[in-house]
Amino acid sequence: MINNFKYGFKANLPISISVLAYGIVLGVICTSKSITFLQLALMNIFIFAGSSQFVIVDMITNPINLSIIIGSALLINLRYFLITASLNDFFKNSSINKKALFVHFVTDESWAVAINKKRSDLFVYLITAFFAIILERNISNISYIIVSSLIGCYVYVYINKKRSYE
Amino acid sequence: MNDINTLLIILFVAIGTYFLRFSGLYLANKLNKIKNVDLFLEAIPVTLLISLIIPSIIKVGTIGIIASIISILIMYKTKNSFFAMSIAVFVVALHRNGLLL
Repeated sequence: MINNFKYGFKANLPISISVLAYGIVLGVICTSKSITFLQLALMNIFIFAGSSQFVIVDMITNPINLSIIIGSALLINLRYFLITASLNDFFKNSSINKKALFVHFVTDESWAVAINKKRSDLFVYLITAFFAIILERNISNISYIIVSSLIGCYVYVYINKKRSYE
Repeated sequence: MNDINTLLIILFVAIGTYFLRFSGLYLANKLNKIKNVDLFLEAIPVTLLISLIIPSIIKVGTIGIIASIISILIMYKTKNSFFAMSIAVFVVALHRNGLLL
């Protein structure tokens, strides 16, 4: 079991670099749209689909048009219908409850790696990928707070320095 | 910004996405019994991968195509995806900073 977790984590490591990068970008966009860290974390856990999260965050303006935002996000997520359809072979002998539980963990990145490996222990694999990606996204969202506060500090020091010269 | 509206968006998109994920798996199981559908299902992964990757490569331009060819060659030789991806990213980064081509 632990070996499977290790294997899943290792296989997803190259992909996590890109997740970290776009996680930071998403975090930076969220600061300008006044989306709180909690809302972003909820999005990461329950929607768990990168590109549609970008669309949601991008489209949130004042006033919000709920139906258009939800419709666009779901249109982008239509691909998951085909993605999970292609995973049918892995889930052949599983109960409906198991399918219902694990299907949430399927994402573009973990699917691409999983379909390549054709592992029989896909459940452990997807779970590990889920935790790896969630961890990565939330870490990158925290890092935007650190980066933006550092920039804030720098600007503050710079302005004060300029003032003291004047 | 209305917090309830944001939470409503998260709720509905989460339910919709879960429904799409589950229905794909559930219906594929049912469709499997129909003749020749498995041929279609087998072709999905490659088609999806290409449709997800090719537009991103073209969007980057000529350097994107060159970097992806380099990445494919390194992957073919070394079988190390991490190394192949890093080199491709490095090539694009060099180009964007005017250090290449």
